[in-house]
Amino acid sequence: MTYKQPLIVWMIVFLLASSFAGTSVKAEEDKETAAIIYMTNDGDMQNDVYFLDALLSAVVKEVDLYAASEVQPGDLRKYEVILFVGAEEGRVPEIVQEEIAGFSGELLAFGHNAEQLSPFAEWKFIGEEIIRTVGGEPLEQAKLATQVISPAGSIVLAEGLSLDKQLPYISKKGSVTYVATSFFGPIETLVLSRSLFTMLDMKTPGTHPAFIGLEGISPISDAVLVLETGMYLADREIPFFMVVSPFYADTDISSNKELVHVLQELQKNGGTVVVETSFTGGLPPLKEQTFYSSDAEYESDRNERQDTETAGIHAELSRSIEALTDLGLYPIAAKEPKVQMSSTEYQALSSSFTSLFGESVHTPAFISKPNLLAGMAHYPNTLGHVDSALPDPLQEVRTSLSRLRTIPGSVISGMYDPSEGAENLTKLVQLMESVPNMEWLQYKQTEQTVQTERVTIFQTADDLVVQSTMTKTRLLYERVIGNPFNTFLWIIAGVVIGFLIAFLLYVVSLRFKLKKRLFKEREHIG
Amino acid sequence: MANLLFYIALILIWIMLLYHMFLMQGGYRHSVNFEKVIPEWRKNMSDLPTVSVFIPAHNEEVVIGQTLRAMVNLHYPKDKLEVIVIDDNSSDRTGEIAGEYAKRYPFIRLIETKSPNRGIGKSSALNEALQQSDSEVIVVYDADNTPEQMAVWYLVMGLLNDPKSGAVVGKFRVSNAKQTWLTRFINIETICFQWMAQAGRWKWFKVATIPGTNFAIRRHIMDTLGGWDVKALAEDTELTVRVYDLGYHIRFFPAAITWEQEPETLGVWWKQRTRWARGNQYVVIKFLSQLFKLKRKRIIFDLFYFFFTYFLFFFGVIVSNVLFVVNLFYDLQLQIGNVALVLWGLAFLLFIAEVAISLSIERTEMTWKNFFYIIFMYFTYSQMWIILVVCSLYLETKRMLLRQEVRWYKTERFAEKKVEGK
Repeated sequence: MTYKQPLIVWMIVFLLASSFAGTSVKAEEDKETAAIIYMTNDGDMQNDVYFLDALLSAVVKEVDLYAASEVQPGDLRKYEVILFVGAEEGRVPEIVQEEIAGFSGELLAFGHNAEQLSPFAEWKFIGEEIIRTVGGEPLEQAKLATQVISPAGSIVLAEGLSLDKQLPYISKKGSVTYVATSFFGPIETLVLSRSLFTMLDMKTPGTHPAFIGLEGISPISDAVLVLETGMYLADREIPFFMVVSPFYADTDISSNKELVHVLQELQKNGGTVVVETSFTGGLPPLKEQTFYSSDAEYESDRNERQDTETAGIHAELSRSIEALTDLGLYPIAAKEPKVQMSSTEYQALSSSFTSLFGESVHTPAFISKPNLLAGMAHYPNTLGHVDSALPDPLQEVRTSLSRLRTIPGSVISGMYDPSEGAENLTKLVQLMESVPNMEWLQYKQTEQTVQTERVTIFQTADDLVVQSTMTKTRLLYERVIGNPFNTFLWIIAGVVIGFLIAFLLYVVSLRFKLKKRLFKEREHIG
Repeated sequence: MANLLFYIALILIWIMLLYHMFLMQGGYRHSVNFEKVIPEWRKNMSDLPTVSVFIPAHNEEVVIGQTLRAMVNLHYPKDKLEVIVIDDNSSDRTGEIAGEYAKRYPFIRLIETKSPNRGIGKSSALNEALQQSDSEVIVVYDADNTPEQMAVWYLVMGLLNDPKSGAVVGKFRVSNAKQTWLTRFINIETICFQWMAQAGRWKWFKVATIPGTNFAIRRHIMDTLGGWDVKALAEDTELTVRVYDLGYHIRFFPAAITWEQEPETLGVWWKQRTRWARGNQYVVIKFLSQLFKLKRKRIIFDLFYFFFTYFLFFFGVIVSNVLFVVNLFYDLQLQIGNVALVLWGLAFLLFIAEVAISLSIERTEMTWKNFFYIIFMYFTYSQMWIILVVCSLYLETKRMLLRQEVRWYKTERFAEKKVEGK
């Protein structure tokens, strides 16, 4: 045997290994594109579809949404993942059936009508059954789930339990997965999140990203407590967020100079400012369409409201961002002002921010980019809040943490109110750090943009660039023009003060002069 | 809605405050300059006109004696002067006292009002005297007035040297200023009125108002106008408008000084001021409807000033007070901000400054005691005026709607309290 023989053997082994490795790499590589096709009664997206969009966007770069009735031939060819959501029983359009029949990527079906899709020919759909637990977790209330018998060779990723039997809740064979419901409460979302990477044949992340924030900072916050809690995190080199509301009632944060100074110091020491605005839209809810005399009137009112909402949001955001920037505090993201926001509100936010922090009902325990957020990344608060009113202030946190540990790649994130003091913060951090493979998110290394008409803040891995057209003169000019009546009143106040000063000088001069008698008056009167 | 009301109130109040700030400057300038013409004017005092001094009196026994003593001391040729006391249906010794003076002094005459002028009010009494006199100049004094020696002299000086003036008004001071806290307030008020409203308007706009006493008017003007308006409770303001409408102006010449008695009790004060307020409201309503028919446009401005004062300004103050009180119990979420607080404080300071400047013009009135009275006045006397104006408006409206007759209220007089040794 010459030296070439071992070489040839090694080449064959290498080629075999490569193809094998290639297969396993292919099975676990990132997914770039996904589509969600939903069948609802009225053709509109429901909350559960929003949730799936959010869940998918955490692991897939691009997610598109289609109502089943809108799918055209060829639409689905480009996707690597398709989710089919049957919220209501009905006839799946032929085009959808054909497209899915020819699809070779990862296919996930939820709820009804999956039996009409050819990849599910091997599944037997037996009807509906009431289940009380899913994935070993008890449901808040019993729910109906599709009872299915998965084909041989399939794996059950999660089971549902009725009173007397076990049902597959998530079952998978090859690249086809079936989930027995299309509506998701907290337990269902937990179970789905746990199985997400497996369902999509993606590599399970080995770490849990983590972040922590100080929330509720406003013009009336105690600067000492903010400093104490912030410096605790800074001293431990934990990157942290500071959720700041620059306005509270009629008070501006600039009036609390001590707090501003503390925030500036914390910003230099690892803190990232997140702005919180107080806008709520300000408009009463839109009336039902039946209240309007015509569809055109309804549409007109709706559009007008959207414009008003958007304009109001822009104004409030700009005011908040610029107020903070003017003080040397540079917000890099925003906090959702409320849990349930409209698409218009998200759209308005997205014109100013690339990231959003909050506790939206639609988001999973991952950093995601759902369509609803119009391009913004969502950073969820997954641990809940520390409540010092409870006997165990970290009770909610512990409960959440125990579940998050079971979700690969889930974000371990908490918000803490500095007014609670540093004691519970220490415990919170300890709890977070007790999660194996937890890594603090280096948010300052990410690319973010915040912008208004007059301020742009770019954050890159290397730098923070702030561009502002706000000069003191311009601000004064805008204040004058923005509220001319107020300005006019201040001018009047100035004129009157001038008059009063003149009066005081006059009085002083009288005291020093001997006044000549102006009138002849009788002595005993006056 | 609360914000809108607040803004309206703020605007109304501050228009008035700023206007008075402007007037005060004019008043002060006038106080410094008005005597400068006297040496020159004195040269024209050779051919003096005949003067009739009208003193309408209804039950004035307490004061008529001192008034007539002052008339006796007037510096004016007695052969060109007559003093006519109009006894208007008095039931006391007014007639008797005046009669005694008439017996002693030939230039003093006592007449009684006759039907239809009897017992109706001051306007009727003056009209009675108008019918029974024929001098070239008419001077009017209230029965409680004690004019200074040169008062009539200066009034006539003004008429002789200013042919465009239909009337000349002098200044009046409070003789019982130190008697009660009320008379102290009134003293401050009268000084302010004359140096701010009278002198200020005269300086800037050549406008003054006949104050009902211590004024001289050309007889031919009274003849042309047909006398005083018997329906008017404030016959002086009503006459003012008609004099201006004839094409004349009214000169404010504070060299002519009189001293008068002011109410010492709240009840008397209330009735007197209600009559004034109603009277002025009557004048405003009477002439506002003919506003643009008036010949002298500057009197339109003055009428509007009265309208603004009695209707708009007080409305603004009332709204402002109501919003303030309601806001103590229920958050109205007023959005105006800090400037409102600043303006509220400045309004108070401005009030004090303007009043103090007025007082400083009168020797011996700018005292620490008066200064504290000014502060006290802001929260008491000024607020009383608001209530009074509202009540007056109600009464005047009721009178107009129900077509009630005007009833003249006669101001109660107080005997001068003698100080031991004086």
